Amino acid sequence: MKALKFLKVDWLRCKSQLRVMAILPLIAIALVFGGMDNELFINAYVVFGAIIFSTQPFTMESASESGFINMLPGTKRDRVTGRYLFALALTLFSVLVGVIAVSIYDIYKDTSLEPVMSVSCILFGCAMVICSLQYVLFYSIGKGKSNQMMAIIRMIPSFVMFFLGTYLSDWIKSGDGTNLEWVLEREVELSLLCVLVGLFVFFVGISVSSRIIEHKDFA
Amino acid sequence: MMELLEVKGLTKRYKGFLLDDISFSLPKGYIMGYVGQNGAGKTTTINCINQICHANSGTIYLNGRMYKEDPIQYKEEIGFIGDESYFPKEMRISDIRSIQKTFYRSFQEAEFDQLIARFKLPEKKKISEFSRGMKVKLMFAAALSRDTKLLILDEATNGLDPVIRSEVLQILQDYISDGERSILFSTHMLEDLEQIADYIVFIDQGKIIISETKDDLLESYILIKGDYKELTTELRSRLIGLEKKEFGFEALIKSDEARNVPKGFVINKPSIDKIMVHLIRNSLEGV
Amino acid sequence: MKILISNQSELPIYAQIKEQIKEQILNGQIEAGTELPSIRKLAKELGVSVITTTRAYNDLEEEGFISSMQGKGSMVLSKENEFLKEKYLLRIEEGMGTAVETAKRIGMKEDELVNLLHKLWKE
Repeated sequence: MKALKFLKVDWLRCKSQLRVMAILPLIAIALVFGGMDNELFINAYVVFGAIIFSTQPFTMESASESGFINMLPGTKRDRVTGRYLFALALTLFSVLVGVIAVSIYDIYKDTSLEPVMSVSCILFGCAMVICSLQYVLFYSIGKGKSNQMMAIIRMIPSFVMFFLGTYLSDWIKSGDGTNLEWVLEREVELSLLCVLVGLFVFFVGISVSSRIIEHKDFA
Repeated sequence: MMELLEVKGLTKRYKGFLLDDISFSLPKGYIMGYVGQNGAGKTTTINCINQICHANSGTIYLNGRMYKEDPIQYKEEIGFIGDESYFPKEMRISDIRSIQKTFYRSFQEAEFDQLIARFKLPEKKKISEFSRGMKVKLMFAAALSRDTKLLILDEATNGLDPVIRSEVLQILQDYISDGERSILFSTHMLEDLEQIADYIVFIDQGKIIISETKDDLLESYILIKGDYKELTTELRSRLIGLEKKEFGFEALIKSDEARNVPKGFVINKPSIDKIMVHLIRNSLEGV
Repeated sequence: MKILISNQSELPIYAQIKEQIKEQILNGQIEAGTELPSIRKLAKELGVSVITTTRAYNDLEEEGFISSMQGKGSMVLSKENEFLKEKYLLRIEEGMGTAVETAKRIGMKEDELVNLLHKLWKE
């Protein structure tokens, strides 16, 4: 329960920045109506935004805050878990917003709602993996140590999304439709797998991050 | 149980710095000045007490308990005022209130609001827009609205105007007035301590040089000034931290040896400042 | 009760507090039976350390001016109390002893010294 309290600290710290997130779905919808070929991009777009925003607490905190944050009653693990919950909450929120946006679009265009759920699951899994990876890296370089390092880490999600997207579309194209069939046949299983892998990496990330800062000063 | 804070054999190693075997204790109901130059190890000691830093060795008892025995209670019992505002800059008073309420069992919202009103702090502004005095006051409001036992100040009065400083001194004396709570006051600005501190611990290059009551410290040395040429070798050997100046010298001498000072030298009561300056000079000579 | 601390004084602060309370007890401005402010309250009001006021009160108690009871604060004792009287007698004896000794050293007669005392008494 202490972790939820730390989630609140991160929320209070970032809430003014997070307001920007509210306009993301609007932009996404506008993009789709403006002629983007696949409505599922709305979904991906919003989740991508959430991943970018999930690094906010790290960029905003400074070493001078340790006299406040580190002295709040609670263990380092509580603090780390709270931070991870921040990423989880953002991702869930963005997935939900994406689903709603796509649904509105589909209803408007009178198309099928089906693929939205599996795409959401896949996006959720990817987001969790990327966020956890970023957080582990942030915790290991330490607070406010190196701005270049931070900038590089913040670029990771874009690279991952880009390469993953390219690779997947190449792979699907390469098998004359058989690969696509293979995916479609196992849609539910693959979606579930994504969610499970995402959550697994999420929990491993919490453990690893807690261990990284357990013996660090000021962490 | 009379000791509120007991530090025993605290040692912390950094690259190029060693906090070496620090021990002192602070009884309930008193104010301790933790004095030393910048870089002497004051903040490191405080970070260890605050459990922000991991000591290499040594034990710390707060109100009879070690941190690991009850981490939550330990943190509840410390109120910390830093040298710069430690609140996230983008927050407002309402956020601080909300966090305090969430985390601290003993937080009293009414008390906090009263202090905010008394200090005339702006509810609507971001903390980044606060003046230095306002930031310090907000830290006090946050710490004083909880049921703490030990108030730790780390250079908190630096750069404050005299009016706020005297207000702060009053707050500190109020804090200890029930005889149950204590204050650890780290500073290199000694006028503040000269008045209200009960104990002085003096640290230099990671080591404790002096640890006694302020009254005893002030009485145990005499400041002596005079013409360097008139110094006998015998008297010269008794001087502590001799400082030669163009028109005369200045040094400390133990009070009980001051009677033997011949006429022609000026002797005065020293301030804690002067004691510190000459003792540091003395320890440098010793190296 | 009035206490004024001077930073310029050669006397340490605890001694200034002690002397000023003593003076007011002796000249009757503070009456016997008066309860003095607590050590902590006095420290707060004067802006001095608790150890300083503690020492002043301890000295006053030792010299028989006040009596401190645990948890009850400090009470001003009567000037007439035996202990105090004896102390003062001792001090008077000491002073007169020095006077007599000095008088003898310069060959002053007894009645001359007594006359001097009379004169001083009337001043």
